[in-house]
Amino acid sequence: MKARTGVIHDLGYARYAGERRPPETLWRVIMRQHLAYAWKTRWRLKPWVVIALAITVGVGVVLYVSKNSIVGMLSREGVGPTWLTAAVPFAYTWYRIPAFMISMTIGAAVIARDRETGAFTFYFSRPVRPFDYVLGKLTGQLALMAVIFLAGPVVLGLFSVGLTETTSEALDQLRILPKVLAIGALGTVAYASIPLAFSALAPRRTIALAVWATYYIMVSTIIAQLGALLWLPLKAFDLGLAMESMAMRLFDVPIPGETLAPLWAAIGSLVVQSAAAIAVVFVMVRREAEGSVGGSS
Amino acid sequence: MSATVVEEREGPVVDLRGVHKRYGAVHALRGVDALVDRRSKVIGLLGPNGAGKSTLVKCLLGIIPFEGEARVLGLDPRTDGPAIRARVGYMPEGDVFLSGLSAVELCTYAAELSGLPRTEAMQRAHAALYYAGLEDKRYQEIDGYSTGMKQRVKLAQALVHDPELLFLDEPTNGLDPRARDAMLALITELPEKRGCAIIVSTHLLTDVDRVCDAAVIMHQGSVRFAGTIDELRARGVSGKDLIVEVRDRAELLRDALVARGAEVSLTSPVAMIVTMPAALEPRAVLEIARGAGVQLRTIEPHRASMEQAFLRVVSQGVTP
Repeated sequence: MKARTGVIHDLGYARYAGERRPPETLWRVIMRQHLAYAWKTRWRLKPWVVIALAITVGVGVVLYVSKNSIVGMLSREGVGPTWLTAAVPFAYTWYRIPAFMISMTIGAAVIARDRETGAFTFYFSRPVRPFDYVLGKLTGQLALMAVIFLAGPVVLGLFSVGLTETTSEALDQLRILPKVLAIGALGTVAYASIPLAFSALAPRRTIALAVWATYYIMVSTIIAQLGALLWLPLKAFDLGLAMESMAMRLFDVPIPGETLAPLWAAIGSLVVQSAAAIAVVFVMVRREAEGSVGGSS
Repeated sequence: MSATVVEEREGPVVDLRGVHKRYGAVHALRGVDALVDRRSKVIGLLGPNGAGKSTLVKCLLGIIPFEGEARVLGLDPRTDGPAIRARVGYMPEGDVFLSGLSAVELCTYAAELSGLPRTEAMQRAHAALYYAGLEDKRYQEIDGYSTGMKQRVKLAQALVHDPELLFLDEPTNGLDPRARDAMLALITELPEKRGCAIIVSTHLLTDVDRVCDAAVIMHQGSVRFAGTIDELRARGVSGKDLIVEVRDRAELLRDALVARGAEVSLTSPVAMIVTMPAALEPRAVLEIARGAGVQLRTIEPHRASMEQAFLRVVSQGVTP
């Protein structure tokens, strides 16, 4: 970083007598800082947003091609799914990739990094309460994940509405928007909160990243495979599969064989894991707050 | 040129009555009573490791619950913790840096988190860094700062929101003599320039001696001493330790004193420190000198160093 230099013209000290921001609004300052931190370097957020954009464009092209008469005929004959309906839920399979990468570059690192650098002392020697800190970090992370799981699918949903030829078709297609919002909201919360929980539990950033990656890639996959063999709802333990199952079920996409977790299991898994994660984050941060100032006595 | 601040506010800065804090079976604070009024500018908070200093700071900032009565800046830490922390600055011993931020970004963020609007926070961040002597380096990332510069950033982030009370935890930790001098000079002039009271927690008694008006010594969870630095020094005077100067033949007086049970340490060919035995009064030195044929020049109580006074307070359990 190139240093700028300059002279500060000190006009004299005067005590600040204006209004101060109430403590209840400090989470907004923390959220803004979280977003600024994410945006600051080239690798934390930007490449994954570009990939999400590419996925959106790619799926949009598929939707556009589905207007082709031959593809439409094949769909009507039942050779393939109805592309206008199926392309959006299938897109979640791809959106999971940039979402996971953001969880690695920011979500799973952020609280552990604050612990490593002594930032808890910085926060909690000020009017910031543990609740404000958690809310600030969580809303910041939700905003980042919403770019992936909400913005892209909503654009695709609107695009698919735009591709319809009649008003009645358009109105019919509009029904996918609440579904897209529901899937996106749950996915956003899960992919934002669960990595934060690993970050709050781990003593160091590298450990947090390793444990989160192991949980997401290996543990979830093993449990999902066991679910496929023993009890299908268990497949929803895998966050990606839970989102996929939810999307396919809500969009009524026909999948050969019964390989998806039920809708209730998918929603339940996302809700329960997210709630548990938020509780863990709050408990751990509260504990950190009590030990943060003054070192050990 | 910064203006000198002269402000009068009402009530004591800190008022503690019977503050208790337990961690399970461990009694971290045992009925702490302390009063820091507005006249005290820089107060040293001293005590060995585990004395309860950090617990006391946490209680004062409203971070942990406790029993007893406490007011900080007229507010109750148990219910008004955030309001107290908005008016108090804290410079910790360890690092408090957020990775990837420059000094000015860190201080702006610190001021915003203390409730200042963004524009005001930015202006005061620049001013605080100027005051801390970092005006040239304020746009550099803190990760690349030297230890001395990091200490200055910690001071700036503690000052940036205009605190009325400043806690400094080992402010000269890790500094070379020159940087230490500069830091102590900054601390000394802060009450005049910024109108804030300062509580310095440190193990370096020379720092306390140099910058503090008053001291609070804690040991095993209770306050063993609270008073001015001169009063603390007076605690170090036993009444049995004397500085004795003679015209010549100091060794003759030494031998005579040792023969009567005194402990003697020659500090020069004509001076010695004498610790009289319990059975003898200090004036007995006059008779012993006359008997040895040695002419006395001066005889006066030996005033202990800060270290000796501190150790005496801690070891003898002297209470305020």
